[in-house]
Amino acid sequence: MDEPLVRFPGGIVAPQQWLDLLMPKLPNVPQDMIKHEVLSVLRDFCIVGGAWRDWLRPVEIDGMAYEYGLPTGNPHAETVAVLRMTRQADAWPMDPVPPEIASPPELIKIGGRPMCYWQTQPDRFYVAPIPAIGEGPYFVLPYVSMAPLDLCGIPNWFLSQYQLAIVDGVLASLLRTAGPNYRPADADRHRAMYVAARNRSRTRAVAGYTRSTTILQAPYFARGSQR
Amino acid sequence: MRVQDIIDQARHFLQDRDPDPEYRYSDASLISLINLCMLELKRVRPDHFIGAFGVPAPQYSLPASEVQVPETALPAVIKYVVGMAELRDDEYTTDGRASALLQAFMVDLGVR
Repeated sequence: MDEPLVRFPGGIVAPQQWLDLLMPKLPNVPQDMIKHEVLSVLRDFCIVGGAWRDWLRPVEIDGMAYEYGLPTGNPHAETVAVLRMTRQADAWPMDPVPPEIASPPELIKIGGRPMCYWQTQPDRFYVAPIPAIGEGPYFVLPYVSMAPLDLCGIPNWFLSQYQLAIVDGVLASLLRTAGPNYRPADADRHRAMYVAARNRSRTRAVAGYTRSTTILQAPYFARGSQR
Repeated sequence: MRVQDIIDQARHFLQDRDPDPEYRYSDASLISLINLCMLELKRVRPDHFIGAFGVPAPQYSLPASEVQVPETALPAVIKYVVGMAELRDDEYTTDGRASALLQAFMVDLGVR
């Protein structure tokens, strides 16, 4: 059997940058193993931490269809979840609805502008109400979180911002793998730093970069003698 | 690196560089040791075969074939081939060299 092995049919490509950061810290670990782990950690960081977010192209909501696909327009990424949905014409933020209460037929009515949306799987969404035939069309703008399918499509800003967190995640995993680099105490330390970075990313995904910390303040009339 | 390169390296350490009238260790016997090494490598360091677990470990029959393990593992492969060849019972071998080389194979791979 002299045929060459096909190791990554999906076309995994690791930028030199990742290997430069990781290989000196992981002697005796093959490059392919590191590439594989980098992709796994990147996907986890994006799926759980919502680190890669973007607006997609407008989706046309036409008559008599509840279900629509979410094309990322990026062959190296897939959608994970819709974070926000906005009607394009009037910039109206549509309401997210949990799928379990979106089922009653009275919510799925026909006629009028789309008001709410829900998802049952990552690459599709439903809207309600849907326009009647001859009405519209309406366009909605999905704001989604995405996850990479390989290492070639990662944007530069992502690398500059989350590089060290991803390195921590890779080290946390590979230092727990049986073999010459098995160092569980170091792995735990890297894991803690990775999870903290992922949580920070999750907070940004939910609150955005520009929103200030929530500060509760009593209304003016309720402050009593301190006026 | 090709199978032939490993054979050449192994013959250097085995002091078996004179093909006249014939090599003491034939190509076929050294290739069979390389094939054995691939199985041993997959057992002790499966991470060297990541992405190819769905197929059997590579087994070679031609000297021109490309050896499909990470280049950092190739020195260990050569040590294994020489060590196993030294295990053969003939007047030129020494048991001490064989066991030292086979131990060095494991140390190189970080197993012991």
